[in-house]
Amino acid sequence: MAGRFAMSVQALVRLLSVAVPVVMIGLACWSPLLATPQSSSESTGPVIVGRVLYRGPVPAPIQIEVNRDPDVCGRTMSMTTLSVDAAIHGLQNAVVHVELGVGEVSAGIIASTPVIVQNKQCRFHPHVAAALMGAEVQIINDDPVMHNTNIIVDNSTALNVAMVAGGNTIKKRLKKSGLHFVKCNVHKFMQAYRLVFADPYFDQTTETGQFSIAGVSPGLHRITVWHETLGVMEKDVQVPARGTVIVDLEYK
Amino acid sequence: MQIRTLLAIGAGLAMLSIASFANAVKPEDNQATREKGKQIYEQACLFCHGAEGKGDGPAGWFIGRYESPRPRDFAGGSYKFRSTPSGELPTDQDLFRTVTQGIPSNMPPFSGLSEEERWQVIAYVKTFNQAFKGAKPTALVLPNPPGPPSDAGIENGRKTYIKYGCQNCHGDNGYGDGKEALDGNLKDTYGLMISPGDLTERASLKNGSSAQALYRSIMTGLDGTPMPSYADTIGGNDKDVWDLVYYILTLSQEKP
Amino acid sequence: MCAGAVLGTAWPVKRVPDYSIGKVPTVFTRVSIFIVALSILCGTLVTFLLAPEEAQAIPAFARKYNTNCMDCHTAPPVLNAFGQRFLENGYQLPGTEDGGITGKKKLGDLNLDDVNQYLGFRLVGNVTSSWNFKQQNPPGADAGVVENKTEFTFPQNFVLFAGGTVAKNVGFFVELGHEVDEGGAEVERGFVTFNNLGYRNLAHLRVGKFDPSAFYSYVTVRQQLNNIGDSQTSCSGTYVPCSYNRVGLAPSAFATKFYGLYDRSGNYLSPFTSSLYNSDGETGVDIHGRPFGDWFLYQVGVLNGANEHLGDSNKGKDVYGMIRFDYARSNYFSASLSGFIYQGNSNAKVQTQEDVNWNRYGLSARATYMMVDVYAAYSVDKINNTPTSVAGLFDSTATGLTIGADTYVTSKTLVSLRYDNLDAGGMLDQRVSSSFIGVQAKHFLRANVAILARSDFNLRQSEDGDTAARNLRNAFFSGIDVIF
Repeated sequence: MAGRFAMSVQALVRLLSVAVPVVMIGLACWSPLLATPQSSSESTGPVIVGRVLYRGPVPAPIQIEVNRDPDVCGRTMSMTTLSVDAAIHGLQNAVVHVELGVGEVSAGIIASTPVIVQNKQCRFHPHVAAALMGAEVQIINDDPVMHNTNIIVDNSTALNVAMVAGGNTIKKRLKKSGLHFVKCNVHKFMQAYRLVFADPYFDQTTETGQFSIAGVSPGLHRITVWHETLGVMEKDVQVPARGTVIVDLEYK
Repeated sequence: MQIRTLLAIGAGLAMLSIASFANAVKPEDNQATREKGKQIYEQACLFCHGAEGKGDGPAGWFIGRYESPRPRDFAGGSYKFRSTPSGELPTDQDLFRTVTQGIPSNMPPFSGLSEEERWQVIAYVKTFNQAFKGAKPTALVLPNPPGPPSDAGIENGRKTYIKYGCQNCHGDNGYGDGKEALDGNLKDTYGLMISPGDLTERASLKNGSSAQALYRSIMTGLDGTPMPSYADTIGGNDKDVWDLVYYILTLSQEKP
Repeated sequence: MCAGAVLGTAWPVKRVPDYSIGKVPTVFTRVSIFIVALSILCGTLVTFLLAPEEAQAIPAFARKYNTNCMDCHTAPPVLNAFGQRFLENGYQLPGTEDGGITGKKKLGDLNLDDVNQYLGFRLVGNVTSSWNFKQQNPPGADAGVVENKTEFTFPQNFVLFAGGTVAKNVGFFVELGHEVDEGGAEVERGFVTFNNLGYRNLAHLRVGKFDPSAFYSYVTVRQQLNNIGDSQTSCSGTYVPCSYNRVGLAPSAFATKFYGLYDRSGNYLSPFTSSLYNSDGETGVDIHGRPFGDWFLYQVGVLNGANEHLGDSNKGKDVYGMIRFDYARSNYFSASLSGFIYQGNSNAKVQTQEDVNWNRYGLSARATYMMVDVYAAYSVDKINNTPTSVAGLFDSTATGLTIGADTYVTSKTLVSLRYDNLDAGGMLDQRVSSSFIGVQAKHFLRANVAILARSDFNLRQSEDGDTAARNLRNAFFSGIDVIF
């Protein structure tokens, strides 16, 4: 009886040497598709995931009367500064950043993802974005009127370029870190924010307020959250050597 | 006299004249130069620009009071009058020009300091901002004006004035009474109310009023203010800009 | 329409709300006292003020350097830290010796157009003065203002002045003034400066008729609340005391303070006139400098003597010394502290025609932070050899205290406050002490054109009402100050 079900050791090893890698590759391919926060796509460093929450009153969008170029911008414009997912109270367009640990030095990663600032229908798209210092910013004017894209950081001009209708896309580098305030001096209701960091440990929350930051070194770190009307909030988090740590950040 | 003697005298004179030119050459930016610059700064500049160069000197607030301008913050502020692209530091030559000529209605000219003293104080001023260390600001190419304007050119300049949106701030006739100005929307990067230049008063234009100076203002923009830089959006075709410059000069009704 | 036009320029611009984070829209409030002052001034001023553009009407120094009055002034005529150093340097930019370089031509090339580089003109005074007394003289009694009434008085004072540099380190200043009340024109000041003797800032020399207190923390000739002259009932003959209906309103710390002093010609000295170190103009020489750095200033001088405007009728000279400590670095803040000793030498007489030595010791401080400027001066006057003929009848000590503050409530409106306390000395049967508070709002239509409304309140009025100091309850003024 043992003879019938028994495989030879050799055959078993052969089976396992094929099956195990297949299963592992399969798991590795499938795991990013698993949407639950429990998943870990990196088997190396820790991951910080979580949600930014806000349960307070959400003001109605501000209605602004447009008195410049209404044929392009419309007669009125609706400005939403606080966007919260009704079901889970997740806050959209917050930016989360994990600061380096004490004594830690930034790895000096080169920015490869460009930051887009698009002038369209008298709004900047996207309204909020986060980027790595040194990233290229691409400024585009899709409107048939003149805008200027005036980017201000620390009470000084990072970039102030005119964008005539039908003009070129402008490409420059963001050399400073910090909160960059983007505005147009011709259309005062156009505003946007770009948060620029010296290290890559940041993320912008989704519509449901979720974020995920990987690659942070183990140890005690400070997380800061920025939102354009709710302000800045800080929390300390202990990051393990590997695995996922879940952090919920709630604005009171 | 013999040729040899003449040649010797000529060589001697040539060396003397070269030596005198050497005095007009910019001094090397070293510790000694910066020390001398500090002494000049503390007697002449500190009262507006502040002991740490932050633009918070005891006399500086009164220039604009609750409005722009305040004296330049050398420590981190952006520089208005440059020949470099938007968001960049000024060249040493830009700083020298500002110290020598002053800024109409804001800063007196310090041509009373010798050239060497002006270079020394500039070397000290650059120490207030770490970004100057090792930086080599490069000026935009600023060509000479192309020549006397034609009527067609000035008409193109008038169209360009509108295409570039100048009237939004400077007004239809350049008085500085554009809609954004009258509505009080124009602020500098410190949030202080700021007025656009009155293009009809040449002497009041702070970055200069020559054709070349206007070209420079349009191409580089005035950092720290709502005035943007047009260099990138035009993509190398500056004919419209020169036409615009000559049109602006007609607004002040003096011979260009 | 007139009121609307003037009110329109006086009203601050309402700002559109700023939508960026955390900023609250602001709206500036009105100063209601302006309604009264502006409607009074309206008719005379509208056409005058609508004319020139700001860039064209600027005084001589601003023209010369193609810059703004406010580079040197907190609010004209008061100087900020940069303007003070410009003045100390003999009208050369601080840290430079640029006389003869900036804006100059060699003598011989000058033409009439160049004159405006040197010449300035000031027209200042109250258009209306309104007095309120506790008791009034019955009709037909003594002359002088002793009734509640409003009078038109403009202009009380206009001056033509010229100043600047004629060569490197050689400066000059001349001020020709006309006081409408007194009639005639007078050289109020006229002097030459030789600067940076020895080495930069070691010693600067002034020769001529000048204001000794030019470098003091609180300067007599540069005030926001202008002097208001006293009103005399009767004043005739020499060595005869004058009597006053109404005190003059000038800083008590600077005032003569004694009742019963006479000048060398026998004219009664008004107790309210600025004098000695704090005089508007005295003839002599003085030297000042900052030999150790910006933090310390010294000044020493020798004068013909008090109230000897030109010429000297006795051998005695007055001498003075002043020291000042400064802090002026950053944070929009500067402060100074000064003290002086003034020794007079037979510089006044008493009614018996005997000479006295009239001395003064003073202390002053000033601090400026952004839009607020506060200053104070205290002085003690002593007559140190009171003649036996008046012994027991003469109080030989008098003090004066002045404390003031100015602040910009908007970029164009300055509000000023001043407290004065005069503890008078002199003949016991004449002397009366006084205390006043003055409040003023001054609106700059342009940097050099201002309209003002001012009120002074008598703090001692509740006592006996029949003296010049007690009888005046309060006064209201509206005026203009124009400098070209």
